[in-house]
Amino acid sequence: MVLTLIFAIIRCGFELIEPMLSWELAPGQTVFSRLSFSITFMTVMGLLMGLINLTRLHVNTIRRKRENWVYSIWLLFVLYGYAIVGLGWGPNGTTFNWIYEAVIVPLDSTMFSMLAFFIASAAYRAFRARNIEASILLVVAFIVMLGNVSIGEMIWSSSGWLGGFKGIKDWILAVPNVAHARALAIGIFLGAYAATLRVFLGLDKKYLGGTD
Amino acid sequence: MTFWEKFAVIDPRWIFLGMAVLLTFPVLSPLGLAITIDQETTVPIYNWIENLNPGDIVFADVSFSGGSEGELGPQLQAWFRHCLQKGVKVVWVAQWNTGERLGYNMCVEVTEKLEEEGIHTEYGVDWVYVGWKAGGTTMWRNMQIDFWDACAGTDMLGNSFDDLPLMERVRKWDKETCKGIMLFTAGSPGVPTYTTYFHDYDIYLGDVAVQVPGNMNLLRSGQIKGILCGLPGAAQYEILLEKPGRAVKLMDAQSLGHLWIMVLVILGNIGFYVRRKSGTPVD
Repeated sequence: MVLTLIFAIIRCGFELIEPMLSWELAPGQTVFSRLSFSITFMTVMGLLMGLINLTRLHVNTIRRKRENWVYSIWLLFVLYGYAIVGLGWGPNGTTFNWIYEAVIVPLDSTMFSMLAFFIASAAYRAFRARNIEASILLVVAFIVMLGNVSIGEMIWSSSGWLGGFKGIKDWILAVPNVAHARALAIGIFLGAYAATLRVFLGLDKKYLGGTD
Repeated sequence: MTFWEKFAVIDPRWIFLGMAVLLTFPVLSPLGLAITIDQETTVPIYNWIENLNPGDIVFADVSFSGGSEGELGPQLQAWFRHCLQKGVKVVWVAQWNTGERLGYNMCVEVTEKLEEEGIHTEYGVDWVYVGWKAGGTTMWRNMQIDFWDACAGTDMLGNSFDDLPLMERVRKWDKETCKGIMLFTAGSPGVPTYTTYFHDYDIYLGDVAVQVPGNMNLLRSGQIKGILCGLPGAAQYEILLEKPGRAVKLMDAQSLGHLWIMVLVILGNIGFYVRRKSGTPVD
């Protein structure tokens, strides 16, 4: 608890007293440059930790022959195989780039392209005008979809009344959508402040293993 | 089950087949549907580049991977072509390491096409691809202070900044050097890096369509100056450049895809109502 408060105060200090960041600790080294180096170092170490953790997890899965353990072998093979290719021939090596361009990018694109099919199927099953709220959602979805594509322009031109589908879509995005996004953002930040304040004041100790 | 009731339970395989046909057909045989230029989102980006002087430097960020290439790839290529045609210098960084090489390949493709058209560009003079650097958002903050030091003095290809004449002008990522930032983003890290640490710069977005509503409040507040909204944004930019390309062609496919979804929703609702009226259980 005491440690938390100490770290919280130090962190607040760095956040609030920005000039402190430009204090020179050594020639060419400011408080900020030291801190940012630490953060960069921690980020890179985080990757290493992730690698170690993932390896341990999947080695255990293979050793105990848990369900789908074969996929763990494949995962480790790809993970270390790609890393070895990168380390051995460099990130600009032909093999490393070929794997990226011929395997990773097409797989990534294919996965997201399939969304078009799933969205069509999901929209068909989910967009049912069961009540007034669902009907409003349906109408708005239709307007936004038509406002985004050329066919909407053909049906109701943007030079026509109300700016056509595009005009209404723009209004939906610019007014109700922005209003809700800001309300949501303000709500989230107020919630985050409240939660942080509770931690700072010691009212919330659950994360320390307390009971209240 | 009556004819109308069947619409409530269409086999998903028909849905997928219809979608596949409607997406493929316009790509093979474009319909040439009209595309309207969005004055609030697309035009500010075009005008920004148009009003820059040859030799001005802008920064661009690749924050996406292969999954968003369909939307952001054509945007990136159209925008980069515009910069090179105008003589605007571009320094590329990448917040996503998974998109770093992809972005570079697309840039090279643009320069090759320009070369075929007789517009000569040179790597290191007209553009530099710094790429991804480890360290997350903090690294971007470091770039503002000492760009060379933060990037370890090398670009993505391992070239030393000393050998790239453009980088001599980019010691710091500050407002004197940078005449604006173009961010092609598909998620996190993305926009907050710039709205937080580069809030006094002119920031422009190339955004995937699904993220546009979430970023619209930033446009309204002036935190960002323009957005290329998904594939339509790319198509509009291509038309502004008078170089219709992949995005314009794909817009027809997107139109028919949207139309198919709407037809399905209408049919589904007809089936739903007929079944409910006849007392058949509806899910």
